[in-house]
Amino acid sequence: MTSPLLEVHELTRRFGGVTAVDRVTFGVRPQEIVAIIGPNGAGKTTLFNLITGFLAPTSGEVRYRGERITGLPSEKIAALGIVRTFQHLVVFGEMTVAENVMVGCHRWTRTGLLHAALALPAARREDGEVARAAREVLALVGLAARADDLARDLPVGQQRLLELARALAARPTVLLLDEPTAGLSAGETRHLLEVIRRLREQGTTLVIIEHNMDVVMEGADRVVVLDYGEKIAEGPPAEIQRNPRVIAAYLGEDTETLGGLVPAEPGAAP
Amino acid sequence: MSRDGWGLVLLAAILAALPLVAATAYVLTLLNVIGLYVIVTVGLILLGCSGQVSLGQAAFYGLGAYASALLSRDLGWSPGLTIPAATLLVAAGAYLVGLPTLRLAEHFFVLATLAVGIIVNVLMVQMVPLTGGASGLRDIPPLQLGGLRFTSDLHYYYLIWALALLALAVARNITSHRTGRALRAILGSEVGAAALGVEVARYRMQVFVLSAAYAAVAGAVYAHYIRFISPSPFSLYASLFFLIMAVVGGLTNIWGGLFGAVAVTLLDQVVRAQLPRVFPRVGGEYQTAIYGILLVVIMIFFPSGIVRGTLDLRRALVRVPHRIGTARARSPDRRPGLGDSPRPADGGTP
Repeated sequence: MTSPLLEVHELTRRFGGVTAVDRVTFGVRPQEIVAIIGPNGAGKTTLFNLITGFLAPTSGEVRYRGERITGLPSEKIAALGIVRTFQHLVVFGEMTVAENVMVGCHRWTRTGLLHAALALPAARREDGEVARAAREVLALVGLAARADDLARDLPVGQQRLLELARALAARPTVLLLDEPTAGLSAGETRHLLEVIRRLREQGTTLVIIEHNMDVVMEGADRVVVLDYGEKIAEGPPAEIQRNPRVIAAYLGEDTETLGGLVPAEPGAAP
Repeated sequence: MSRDGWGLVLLAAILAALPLVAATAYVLTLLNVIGLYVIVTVGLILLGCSGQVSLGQAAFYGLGAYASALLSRDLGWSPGLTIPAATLLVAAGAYLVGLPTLRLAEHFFVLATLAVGIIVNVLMVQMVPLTGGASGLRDIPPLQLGGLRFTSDLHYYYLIWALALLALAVARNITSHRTGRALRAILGSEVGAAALGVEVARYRMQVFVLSAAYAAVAGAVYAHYIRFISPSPFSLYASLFFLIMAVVGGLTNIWGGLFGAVAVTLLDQVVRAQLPRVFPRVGGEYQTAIYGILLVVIMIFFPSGIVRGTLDLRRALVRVPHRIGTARARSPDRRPGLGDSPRPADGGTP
């Protein structure tokens, strides 16, 4: 078994009296696809914020390639190769779709203020490269036709695809996707699954917060289940589906989520 | 060449020919002043591209003027040297000012720049042995480059507008490459930019220092052009004036710097001439009131500048039926704010 690329160790975050993430521990191996599931408010996004440095943990740590990254600023963590998307959309509305994706290329490009100010050949060469990369990524997610539109003019589903494209443009080692299928049509969701698989083949490691159980069952190698901030289960999707604690956690929830979880395995309900 | 590139060439041609048709002393002086304001305003707009607003730009403008004046007058350096030296000094000063203030959230950053502007202006008045106090510095040597002595309005016209074109070209280059995309991403969302590895603090500092350098160049040239400086043109009022130019032009549009500086300077000429006729017994405070009101009106109705705001408005009026559903999403130039920080717990409904 290969050693984990990303390790979350005893990670805890309290907000006043509420413990949003409670001593969560798990590891992600290279090229693995791990799904994080759990009812609303289980602490999934908080977990992402802790991993990517947008929040400081109360205790515990995150390791990447064996090195502690807890306490690094979020831009440093992104620069190391851990790139995320957001549950609530964060597109740069006043920039075009292509420009949004070009910002994604920031991580692996280098020219600075002086290069730009004087329009030095290096800056122009890099811009060509970045524009090409942006076109490729936009074609991959199916947004090529909207490259020159302002990001704010896209419908929500396409804005989500744009966020994905922007994160892909960063060429991440570990990609954290926060509810990537929310607002997508069935066809777009299908396509997204394909993109995710292709990314893995190309060497990307993925951690995905997902509510759509079909996507989890089909796409994930392993599932980590959170409830009230605690990890209540971890394992392959088929096993998670039959886990009594997981089912119990979802029973108190809306039936829509349950509907996704239970009928796939009718005999599993207690 | 790009559209912006051709725009610059066209502008250069117009500017080169302008003195041939309108070379009265009044027009040239006015154009020179406008050119200096264009430089300062474009700096402010670069700053605006990253979502920052400064109410202390006149301080950097003034510091550039005083530094270059003192270095040339009291140390005997050539103004050809003191203008770049003053610019570097002010840029270094801006870096030091930026270290503590750029950590502040945007509203507090604006207040900090306001404070810096006031402090610098007070120092100009109070440090009499160095600055000459309220009566200012006289006998500042004119610029001399090689054998060319800059003595007439026309000399300075070509110098100032060459610098203004350079300022526009550099700003346009910056906004269209990697650094500019990073700045605009920061304006869109600091959180989103950081998540992609954009070093938010570093870029904010870079553009802050650069905008101060823009103001300093303009100030230094001003000192050698007018050959007399005093604290009054570098007061809070001047900072407000610069900000209005940037806001009229559109805080994120480089060409807006040109438009804003021209429009507001001309408006100021009209106001100065007409106000005493309307209110015969009042002083300059009515002028300040007019600019204050202007700033508020523009911020409310044309947050993306007069030109783009008008275009947006026209588009909106023509296409109202299609726009009703998306009117909220189209509200122009939403600034990043508290709503942008990652939510502490997901879902919000535990």
